[in-house]
Amino acid sequence: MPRPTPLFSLRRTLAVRFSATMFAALLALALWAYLGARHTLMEQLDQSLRGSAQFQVNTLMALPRGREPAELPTDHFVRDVNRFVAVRDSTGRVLGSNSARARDLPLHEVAFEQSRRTGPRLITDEWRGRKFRSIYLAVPSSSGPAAVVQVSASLAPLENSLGIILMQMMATVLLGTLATAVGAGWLAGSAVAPVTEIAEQARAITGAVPGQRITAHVTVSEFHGLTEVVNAMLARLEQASHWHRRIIRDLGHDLRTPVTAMRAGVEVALWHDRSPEDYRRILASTMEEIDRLNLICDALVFLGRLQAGEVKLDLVTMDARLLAREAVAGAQETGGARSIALVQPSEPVPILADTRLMRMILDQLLDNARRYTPPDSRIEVAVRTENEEAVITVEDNGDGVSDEVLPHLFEPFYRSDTARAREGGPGLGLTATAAIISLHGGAVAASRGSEGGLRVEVRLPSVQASLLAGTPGILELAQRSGVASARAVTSG
Amino acid sequence: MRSLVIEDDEKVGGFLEQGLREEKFEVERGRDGDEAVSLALGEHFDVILLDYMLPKRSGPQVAKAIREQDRSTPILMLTARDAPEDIQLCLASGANGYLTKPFRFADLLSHIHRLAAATPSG
Repeated sequence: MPRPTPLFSLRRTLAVRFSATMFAALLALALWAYLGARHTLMEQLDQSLRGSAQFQVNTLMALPRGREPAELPTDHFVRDVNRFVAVRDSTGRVLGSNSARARDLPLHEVAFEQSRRTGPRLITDEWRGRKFRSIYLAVPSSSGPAAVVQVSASLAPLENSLGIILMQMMATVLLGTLATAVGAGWLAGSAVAPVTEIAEQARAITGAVPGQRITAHVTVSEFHGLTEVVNAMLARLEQASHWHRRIIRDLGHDLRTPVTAMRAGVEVALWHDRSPEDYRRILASTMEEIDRLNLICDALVFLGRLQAGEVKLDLVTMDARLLAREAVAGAQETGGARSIALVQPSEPVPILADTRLMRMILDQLLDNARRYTPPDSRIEVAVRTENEEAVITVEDNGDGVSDEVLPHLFEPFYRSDTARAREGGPGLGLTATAAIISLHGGAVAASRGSEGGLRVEVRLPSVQASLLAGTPGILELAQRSGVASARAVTSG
Repeated sequence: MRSLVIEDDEKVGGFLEQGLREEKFEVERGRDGDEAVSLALGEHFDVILLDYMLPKRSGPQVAKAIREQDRSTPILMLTARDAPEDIQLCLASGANGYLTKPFRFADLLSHIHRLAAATPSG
């Protein structure tokens, strides 16, 4: 499967986002600082203008009465070269100024009038293409219209200073953002690096060496969960892979036994000229081995379908006695000298089951008992109802299996070196049996029989006789079993 | 030549017995590990054909038990398992050779004759 093309780099994304956040924060901070500095400088300028205007008013107030401001010598005005002072009469006409240029100061009529009525008035105005800050302050007068002192100062020095401050702040913002981008890139890289390392370790795990796990950064709390999940997944995959390898290997071994029997038979047949009876016997034997191979194939296909969830039960209510009777009759035909007995109660043992699969199970158990017991052995099939369950047992008086093997009898191809005799030939037969029983909601168990042989017990949920008429219980059970359909039939 | 065939699969064992008899062998049959040890140590055989997986005792267990008392009778292990560890186990248990199932009957005869020739008659 092709690897998806990475759409973006997490490291770059983190660095960009962090840098953008830092840029916005620095910019806001710089603007706030710039506006604060501008406000402070304007306040200082205004304060200075107020002081100058008040000084000029005080100077005028100190003059002898009747003396016109126009006649004031220059030293009676504010001397600051950065201040332009003009004294205006009540009509706005300039009565006196601290310099020749100051006589041309523009008059802001609104501010001029307001200063006379409501007190000092500060405005920003333009003069000769440049911005100026001006204060209008009325000279207190007890008689007649009051004169007004206008003090103006150019805003150019202040704006130059603010411009420099703004440039420095913008440079700080840009440098700060750049430094943040570099730092964020490094940090994001450090944060993402363990993931890359973990991915590289995971990529190096091919399954060829068992037990390989992710060891990088397992002690880092942020990556512990990730490595734990990946390691657990690796363990599951390894187990599944081991299981599949074992199935393939063991299947090969199991196929060799019937193939060996067939090859030996055919080779012996061809070794010398034989009677038609000999050929018939060898062909019949070969046919049996072909059936054995077929059983392996069927079990394999069935287990494959079971694993893929493709097995759907066709449930019917039936009498387990009938099922056992048919299976025993079939086994008796091929059982040779073996005694195959059926023990059954007089009352029906109703079960809800897939007839074909249940018959397959009983055939498998009987075949297993028949194949691995001596020709004169005894096999007993018993059907009964116990604790509202249908119980079917198949027991023989053969050699049985060891206690070590018993718990593993239903595992696919389970074998110890001495186990084959009771594995059911096709090592999948008992596995398929257990899977089918489980699908029916039942259970299967193996134990040592009363005469030392093998005893396999199948337990199935019993269907009460009242359900035989098709009450909803059947459908409920069918639905619980996940089956496609359920129908009720009467068994003979 | 006296041979002991230990094979739990009736068909394989039966055809081996028939083929060997037709090749003028005297054949004794055993069907599980315990019977194999008992037969091998109770009588003299020129060769023992031993299946790997047997009821009661495995082929290597049988070979080991035989080798504790009989060091000369050639043992040929017949096995469906051919993994290196299985083969190593066969040989380490005292078997003189192994043949992987399914095998050609001619190969079996060839192995038997080679083993018999390599073994001093006792």
